[in-house]
Amino acid sequence: MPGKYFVVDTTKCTACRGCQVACKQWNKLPAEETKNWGSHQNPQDLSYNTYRLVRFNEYPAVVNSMVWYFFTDACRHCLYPPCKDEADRYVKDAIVIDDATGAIIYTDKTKGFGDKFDNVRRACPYDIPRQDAKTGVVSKCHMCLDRVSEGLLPACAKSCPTGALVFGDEEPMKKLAEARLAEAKKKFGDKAEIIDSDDVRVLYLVVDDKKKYAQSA
Amino acid sequence: MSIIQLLLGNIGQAGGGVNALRGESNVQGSTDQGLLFHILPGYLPTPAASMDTLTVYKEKTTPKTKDPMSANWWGNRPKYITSLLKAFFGEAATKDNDFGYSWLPKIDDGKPYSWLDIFDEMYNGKIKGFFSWGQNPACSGANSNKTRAALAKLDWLVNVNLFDNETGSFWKGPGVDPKKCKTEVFFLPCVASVEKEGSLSNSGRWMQWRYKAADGPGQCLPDGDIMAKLFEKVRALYAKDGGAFPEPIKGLRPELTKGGHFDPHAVAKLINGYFEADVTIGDKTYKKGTPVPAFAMLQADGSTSSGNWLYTQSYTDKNLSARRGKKDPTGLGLYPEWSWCWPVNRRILYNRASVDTYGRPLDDKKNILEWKDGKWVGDIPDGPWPPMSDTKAGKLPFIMRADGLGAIFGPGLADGPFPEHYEPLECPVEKNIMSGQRINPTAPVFKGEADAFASCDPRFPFVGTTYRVTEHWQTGLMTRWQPWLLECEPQMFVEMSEELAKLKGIKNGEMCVVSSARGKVDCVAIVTKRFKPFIIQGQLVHQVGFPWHYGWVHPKHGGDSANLLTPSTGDPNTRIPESKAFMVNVAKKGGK
Repeated sequence: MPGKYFVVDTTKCTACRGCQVACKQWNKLPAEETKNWGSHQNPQDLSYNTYRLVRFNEYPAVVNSMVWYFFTDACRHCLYPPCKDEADRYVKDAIVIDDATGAIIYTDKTKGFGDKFDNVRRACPYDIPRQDAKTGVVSKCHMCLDRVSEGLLPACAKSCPTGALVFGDEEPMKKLAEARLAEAKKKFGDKAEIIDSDDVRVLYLVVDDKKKYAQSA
Repeated sequence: MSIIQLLLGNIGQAGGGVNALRGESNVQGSTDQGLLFHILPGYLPTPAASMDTLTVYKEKTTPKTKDPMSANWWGNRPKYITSLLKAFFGEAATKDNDFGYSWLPKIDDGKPYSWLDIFDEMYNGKIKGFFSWGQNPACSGANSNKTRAALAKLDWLVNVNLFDNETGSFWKGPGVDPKKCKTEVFFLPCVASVEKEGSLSNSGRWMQWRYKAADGPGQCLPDGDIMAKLFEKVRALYAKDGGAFPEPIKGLRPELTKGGHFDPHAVAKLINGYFEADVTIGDKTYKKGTPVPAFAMLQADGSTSSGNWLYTQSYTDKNLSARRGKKDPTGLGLYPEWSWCWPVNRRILYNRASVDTYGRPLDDKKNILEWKDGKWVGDIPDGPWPPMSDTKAGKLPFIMRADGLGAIFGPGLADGPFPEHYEPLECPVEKNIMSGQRINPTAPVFKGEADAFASCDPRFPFVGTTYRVTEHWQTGLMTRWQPWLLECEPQMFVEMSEELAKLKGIKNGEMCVVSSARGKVDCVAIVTKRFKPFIIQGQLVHQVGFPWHYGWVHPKHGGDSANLLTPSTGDPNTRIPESKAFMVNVAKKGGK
């Protein structure tokens, strides 16, 4: 389906968190008061003020002593977003799809979800949307539509120094994902896959069981 | 690293550099321009007390050779020191007054004046005043408790920085009674690097000009302006009231501090250097006041100035360091028109070592330089001479060595002439398995109360090391105040293996105390598979690691500096502190 796509090659991610911070900077989102909880992953989870979070997970490995997986987690911009299907039952067009890019956009009307928000959140296969406790407004990544419609890259992709997070049109991004997948299979074995490649606009390349990267990957 | 590259024959090759990963973007620039105590700008040795005249200085510091194949480039030292003195003192530097040589500060022969030594002197009450320019010694130097105690011995301290820090506020720090602290502290707010114009030199020696991106806030000034204003004030007081040793104050070249303002272009031009008189070289006459085009034209008679001979050519009629050309004719990433590289835009030092004696590249795929039809093609050659097959005019490639050769035999080093392995001052093993000498016998070991050490001591059984995280820079002074970065890395932590955590009954995320013979720090435990115990000389040794980005001033629950634990000892030559290997204990906070 035409529109815009991301490629996230987790094998190239160094967890510098440029994407996480750039997202906050562009969207003027306040920092949360965090503490070190025995992990470098911080904040601990996505929130109303954290659209993008780099998740850190360590596992024992067969060859080396361990592997450390990094996963920059945010909305996948589904081609047929189940969150919208669910949300339209409560507030019509609180969630809209941008024609040009395919970005899934949450509008201020989302505050109308009230206690039905939990159903909307559960409808998301990736557990992304978060509600503001005070206003009831629901937020998540909006593909930097304000930047992209002016011909700029999303803030996260712009900040990525290693080429792990790339953004562009359907054809080149799908080609890139295929090429990276072939490379990853050679290097890391047949477990490598693009997660849900037919359903989403964010093509995550992982080289191990996707649940090892994020519970709701 | 340089020994390995030398043994592999990689010196002078594309990709054969040591490629030091520096802690600051301008470490190269700072050593080029004489930040360290033992060198003046351009790697000229700091004069020692025994070198009482310029003639003696030149005699003692200029290497000689009788080998016609050796270029012995340091044989030019008299030109560079004289030109440097002319850059410092201008019209006031004349042949009759040794170009102001006697005005330069002299070090006592053989005495080190490094960071470690300065703070030891301060700790012993021998230093009365201290300017702390853009740094945070109370957190950045090894053995912070000693550093903080040393600051309390000062009469005055000037803290030039962006934010309040642990250095400027040491008098109200943990365990300090402000009533008992006599030091008078002045805080001068300065602008950040992006709020002023100037150049940085990277590890590849590229001098890169940077424009000012934004004005600094409020009354903050560039540190150069602060220096210039202070100096102009001192100069005015000398003019009015007189004072001790007035010549260097009166004689300092006016454009360096003109109007109490630091002009980065004027200083960069002076670093490049000027003809100070009409000079004829070959068939060309250079007018007084015009820039010197290259360091080969610098003179020893006072007719040229140059603040740093290595940077001559960088800023003549144009500021070459501001270039942003993207051509890469060799295809090897030299980008000769991007910025400017010392010396004379030569991108790879010792590049004549990349060719055989006929000037043919030793590696076809890395052709950075080749002798073709009677001239060198490619990078700027490391000297104009033909290849060594020309036995009359050819020169050996290691032109900065008197013998023209690369060598691992290094007379003149404190612990030379051959490289040797020693254990750290604090270590978990009784013996050095490489030799009978466990620790470096020439390593600096200070004797004061604050310099406690504990090697193979059951109280401190674990190896400690310090490092950085991506989100914070140095002592965190510029990053701890950034909410988005602090959100990612909010607090001091200690990383340890699952095995050690089990041994000490520590759970992931629990608060711990890490201690050494010198201090202790609260840290959140990160129990990780990334740390594994070592087997060293048959014994199981655990290691813990922690970052040195935190300090008590901000944030409130951020913790304090890892350097409270580190020892004030170090390498005997560079005197770089040994903060990467020392001994500690770790225990659950409130536990045993």
